[in-house]
Amino acid sequence: MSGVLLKAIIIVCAIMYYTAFVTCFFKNRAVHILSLSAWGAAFAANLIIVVNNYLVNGYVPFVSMFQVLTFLGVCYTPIYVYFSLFRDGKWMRPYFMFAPAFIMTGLCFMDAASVWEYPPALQSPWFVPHVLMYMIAYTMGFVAFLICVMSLFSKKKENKLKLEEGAYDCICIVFPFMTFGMFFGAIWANEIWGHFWSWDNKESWSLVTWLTYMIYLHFRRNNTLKKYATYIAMLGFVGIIITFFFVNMMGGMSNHTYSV
Amino acid sequence: MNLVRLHKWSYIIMGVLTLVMIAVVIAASVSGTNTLLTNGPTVFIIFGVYFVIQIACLLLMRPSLSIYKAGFYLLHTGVLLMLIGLFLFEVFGETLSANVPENSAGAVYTRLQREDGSFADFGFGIRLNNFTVENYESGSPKYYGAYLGVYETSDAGNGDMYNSENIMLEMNKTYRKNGWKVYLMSYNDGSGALPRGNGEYAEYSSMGGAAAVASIIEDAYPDFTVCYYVYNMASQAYMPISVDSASLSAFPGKCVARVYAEENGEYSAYISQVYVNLLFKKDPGEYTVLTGMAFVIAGVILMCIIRGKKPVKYDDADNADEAKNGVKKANGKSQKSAKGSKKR
Repeated sequence: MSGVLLKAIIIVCAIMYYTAFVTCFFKNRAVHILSLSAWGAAFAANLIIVVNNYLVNGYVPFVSMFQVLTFLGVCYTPIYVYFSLFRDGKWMRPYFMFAPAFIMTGLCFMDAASVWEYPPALQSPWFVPHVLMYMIAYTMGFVAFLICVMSLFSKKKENKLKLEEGAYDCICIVFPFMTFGMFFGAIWANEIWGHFWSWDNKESWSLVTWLTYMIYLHFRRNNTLKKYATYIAMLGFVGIIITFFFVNMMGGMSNHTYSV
Repeated sequence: MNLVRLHKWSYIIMGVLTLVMIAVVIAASVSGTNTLLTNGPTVFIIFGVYFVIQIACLLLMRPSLSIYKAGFYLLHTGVLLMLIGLFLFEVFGETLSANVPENSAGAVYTRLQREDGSFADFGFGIRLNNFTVENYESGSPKYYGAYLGVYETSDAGNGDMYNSENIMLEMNKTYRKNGWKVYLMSYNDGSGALPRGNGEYAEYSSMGGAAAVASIIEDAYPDFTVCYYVYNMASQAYMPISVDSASLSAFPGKCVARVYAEENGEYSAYISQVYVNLLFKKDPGEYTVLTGMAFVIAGVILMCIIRGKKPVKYDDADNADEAKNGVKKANGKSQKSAKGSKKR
């Protein structure tokens, strides 16, 4: 698939996600169907990009930032399906539509080259689980952040409580998957570098993020402190952004320089 | 001090510790050095206090039969195990590295010198038989692997070693023997020489070592002076060397050279031994850490995913559990008022 075509699909995908997001607030049945159809089309387009990345590279497309972000976008829809079926999360649909739309907007401005080299360090069975776990955690982290922002602006107490519960429910997914990702990474590091932990920038910031969410979960269980929990959750997402984007951009002392 | 107050103190201390940890990580990240974390006592102090807090948490939590409590115990026991494993490595473990040249005579590594001058015996020997590397078109490595011979002392009692097995060591593929884990860390295939200004060069290689390579070069350039530089594995830099046979024979095994034409009509030859950098690690705490990780993963699943299906309402679950067990009563409050606060 040519770069131009790939870019066109990304733009269409972003437009579809935004259409789904905007139209999901209307209660008219026809508009509701349009919203769901746009969402389905956006998901399909997103999936096409991921499959193309896989076919062009011949391996799981997790090597470059472009590949990882396209995969991150595709995670939202299946996780929403799980949330709506098993965790009473149907009301979270707008958040699950807006998050991938935002990511696709970012992808429009990125180099869409999908051929990347696959260095020996990444040729490990731990690579896919490590990245996949973090992808799921980051997916939910973004949704939790959006819900937290909305809860700050919410004036009705009931609505505020509902949003805070929703954010908590999301972070109950973020924290375990972040833990899995971190441990799988540590086991992999022990197999490749001879130590579980090396305190490089990416690892250190991922620990900061994990600790921030841990503080959030502890605050939630304390009557005095739980009113600050929303702010802690938002700080956790700041940690995700630093870990995911800024550490790679800064370079320096990091063994995680593959996805710049 | 009663249990409830102790519990709250453990929260506060852990929160402060976490903030200290975050500050240390951020400071290390901004300053661009992580010596504070790797060499200083900071992390050990933090981990030590964490360890005490974890034990306090386990002792203070009232036992009861619930998925959440089971998860709590698994998670905190897992953290304890991980800390124990890390301490075991720091106290009894060690890592040593060696640059092992390819196919050099007598280069069976049976022990390595530690920083304090003493030797660590492996109880077996390692020799690099062959090394292969495949590159992408850009020149970055696609695959590399070291074909190693493993040697053991024969039972005859004369100290002779025999080749017990041959293994392929790759990145992400380690070898374990006698409590040691061997890693392939990096390599030098002789392609590290910097190009000169007018950059014409040719490559020469020989299994006979640096002396054999020098001989080939001298035959190829009979009319010019050739300056020889040999790659020093210890200092990881090219160093000038005299062309006498004694100096060159110090670099046996497989050697490769790149010859550059200088602007003054002379030539410089950069000779490297092909070698791999191996890491030998002894970690008695490795399986303890892995077990701890398994515990934490199980605990987190129970506490967050399975229990988290039903979002926690605005009550303090700890206090609710303690109220059930009459701890509130011990704190001077009636059990009834504790239950009342749970409903609220």
